[in-house]
Amino acid sequence: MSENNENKQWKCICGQMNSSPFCINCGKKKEDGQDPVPSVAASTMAAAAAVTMTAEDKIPQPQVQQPYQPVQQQPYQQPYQPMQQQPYQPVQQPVQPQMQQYQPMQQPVQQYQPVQNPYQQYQPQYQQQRAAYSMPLNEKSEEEQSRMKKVSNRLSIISLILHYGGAILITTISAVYSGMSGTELGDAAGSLVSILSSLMGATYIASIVLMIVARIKCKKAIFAKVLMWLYIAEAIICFILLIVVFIAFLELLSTCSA
Amino acid sequence: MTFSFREFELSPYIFFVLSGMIIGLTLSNIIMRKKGVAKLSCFLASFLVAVSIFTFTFTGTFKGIDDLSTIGFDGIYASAGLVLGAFMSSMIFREDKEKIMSSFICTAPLMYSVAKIGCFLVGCCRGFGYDGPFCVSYEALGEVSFFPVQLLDSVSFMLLFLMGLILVIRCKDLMRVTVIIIFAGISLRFISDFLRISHEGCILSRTQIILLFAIIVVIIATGVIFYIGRKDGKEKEHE
Repeated sequence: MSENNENKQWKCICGQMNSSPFCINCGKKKEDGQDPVPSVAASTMAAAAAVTMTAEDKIPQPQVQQPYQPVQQQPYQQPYQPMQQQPYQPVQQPVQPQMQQYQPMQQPVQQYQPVQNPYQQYQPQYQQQRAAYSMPLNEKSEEEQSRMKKVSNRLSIISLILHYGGAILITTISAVYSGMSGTELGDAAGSLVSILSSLMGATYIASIVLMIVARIKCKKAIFAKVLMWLYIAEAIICFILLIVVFIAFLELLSTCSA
Repeated sequence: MTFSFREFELSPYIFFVLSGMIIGLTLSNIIMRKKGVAKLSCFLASFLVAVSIFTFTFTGTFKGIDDLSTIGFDGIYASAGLVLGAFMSSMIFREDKEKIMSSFICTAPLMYSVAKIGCFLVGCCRGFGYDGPFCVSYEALGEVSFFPVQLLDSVSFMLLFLMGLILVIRCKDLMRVTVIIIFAGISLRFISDFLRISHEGCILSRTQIILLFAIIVVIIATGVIFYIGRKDGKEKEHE
């Protein structure tokens, strides 16, 4: 550090040693009466402070910005290790890029400035908007839920009708047909029963599909849930009955053939 | 090497058919869960497929039955029920349509393979008259021996299942895998039908005509799925 530089040091009222006309800690301007403080530590700090200054400050003190060599010995250099992968480049670099490297040091200075949070002015407005929009949204979702529940219940009712309606219809027509056997109307009813019995499988599958759709539309719908378990229980009973009937049928066939 | 079976006191046919279905549905559930499909979706899709298989099988079995002694579950109708059930499930759960469809179609050959073991033991769906190696004879049918077409079906569909499983696990384009498995299954069944006793004296059997019809249906269904997938993709892009 040169003598010239040491003589430019001054102590601010906050206790910070500075070399620039403004304090790097509190931002106060150097007063005319303040004496320079010649010390090695102060000169080092001064160098660091000098580096923090940007070109925008436009201070007419070129001798402060010249000696950058001691600045690199400071601990502030450590975070910039990746930059030293090219060992000779920092030396060759012009003054301007080096100053830009130290720009983050200006942040502490800004912290002490009485600047208000720029978003604070928008907060009341934001809160008003939030209050205006949040309530209708909740109401909307509730409305949507109740609407979906209604749709789900409707689908469940249709499913139930299809599930048992087909079987009841065919049983009724079969009963009527058995009473009409031998007549012309009886033959017509017979063909109708045969068509309906083919459709019975389709209605059965359609009822299951509708139940699943109802169950998905609104997962909280109790009717669809009950219907699902009803169909499952029915399917399990049918499954067991199928095995029993099939085995009994085969046994009967083998007995008859014997 | 020849096979000969005595008449069973209790037919193992129903046991193999139902166990094949249960194993297949369980496995497809496991695959769906591994692929990240929700529990409720897996459960409901399986239920729909099971109901669809049963409904189609019963409709096919009891419609047009002339001889009660030849009654049995028809694999073609069951397959049609499975494909329709899987298609409906994939349409309901659109977010996972490829995963659901591929899981059920992948396990369909396994169900068929296990069910065919039951046929092989009982003697239904047997092959043409044949007395070479691996011929099979049944005590109930006299001293006549047949070509073991059920065993061939069982082995070939088991291999198809393994191939499909590997494809479903490894490939990302599940829809393509599904279509490949369906076409491979239909082709295998179409070819094996030439070796059946029911095919004798006709150019194309009833089953083969149904299979040809199934190919058309599968092509249309695939087109519909691709179209819906594309539409959904465009909607997502807009959002």
